[in-house]
Amino acid sequence: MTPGTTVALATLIGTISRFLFLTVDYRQYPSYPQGYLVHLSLGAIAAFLGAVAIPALASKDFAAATFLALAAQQFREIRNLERTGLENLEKVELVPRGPAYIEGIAKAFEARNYIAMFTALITSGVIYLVEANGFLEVSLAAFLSLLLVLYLRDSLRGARVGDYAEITPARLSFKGSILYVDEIMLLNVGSREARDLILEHGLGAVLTPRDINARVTLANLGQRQAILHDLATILGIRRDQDEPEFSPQARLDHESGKIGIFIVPVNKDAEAMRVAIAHVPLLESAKRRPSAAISGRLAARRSGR
Amino acid sequence: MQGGDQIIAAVVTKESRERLAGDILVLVAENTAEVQAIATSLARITNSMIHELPTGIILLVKH
Repeated sequence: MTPGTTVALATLIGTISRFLFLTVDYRQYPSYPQGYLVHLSLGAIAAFLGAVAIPALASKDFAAATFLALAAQQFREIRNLERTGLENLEKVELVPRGPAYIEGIAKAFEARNYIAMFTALITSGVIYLVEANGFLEVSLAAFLSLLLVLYLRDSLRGARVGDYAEITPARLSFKGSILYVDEIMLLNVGSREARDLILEHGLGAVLTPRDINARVTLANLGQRQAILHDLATILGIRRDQDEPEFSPQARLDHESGKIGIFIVPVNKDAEAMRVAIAHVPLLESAKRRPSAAISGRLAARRSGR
Repeated sequence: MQGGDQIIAAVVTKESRERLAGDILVLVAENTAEVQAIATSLARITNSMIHELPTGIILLVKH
């Protein structure tokens, strides 16, 4: 097979792998043709850079390594692009994602372009190394690339809040003007009308961390904001911009490490809330592991947690 | 309160008026029902949140 055909095929398969990662879930981003076009175009460029590397090195053109360095630079730009775009959108979100969630999303978009590049690299490598007829070469390359995409799709998924905490529906109540979720104090609501609405339409949940690592991780403000954003996205939110008393809240109980969550959703369904919280991605920036340190294990043992 | 939070006004009944001092805007209502009505209107106008102290005094805070 000619180097030109190899590069073209590898670029095509790399672009397809990027397409397979364009999953549109409850976040609905990207879901418009413009968004698809931007990400597929960037994915195609990434795939091309991966595809040319092996044929170029085979012809002793070591400048190909420069292409890969160029790719890394380009992917960083993609991360910046995503970050800036999502940060600009924060102003119009009723429940913002928060900087930690945005950083996680931006990183995911960057990583997907590396996947397109690696897939194209493997494809062109297999076509180049396997000496067989054209159809067999391409079939084998496509099969291996698909395996890689499926493996990365699973391994890049990461942990969820449900892996770190037990989530139980909880009762909302007021003591005076203070809103409680079970025994966790949330906020002061001075409006009687708002209190009645909260008791009628609100939902509460308590997250009990499974261990000391989960306790520290879930206490992170960015992680809590991500939970609230996803909850508001999935269940809907019964508030407008001038009704801050209906803003969802996630508060930490210092004694137990539990997190009390409150939302006034459009659809009042406690089980749906539990499932939605369980599926919130655990943010890399929030993840902590104090048990990996001797002092962390010692502190946890002494405090009985 | 966190940095950037600002007390917009206090809404009180005549009986609670003397419990307040300082230079914030104080609105005086005839009764608790009127306190709630004034606070709700003002909160919508100023995009602030209504908080109630144990003394019954209502504070409007912009978070």
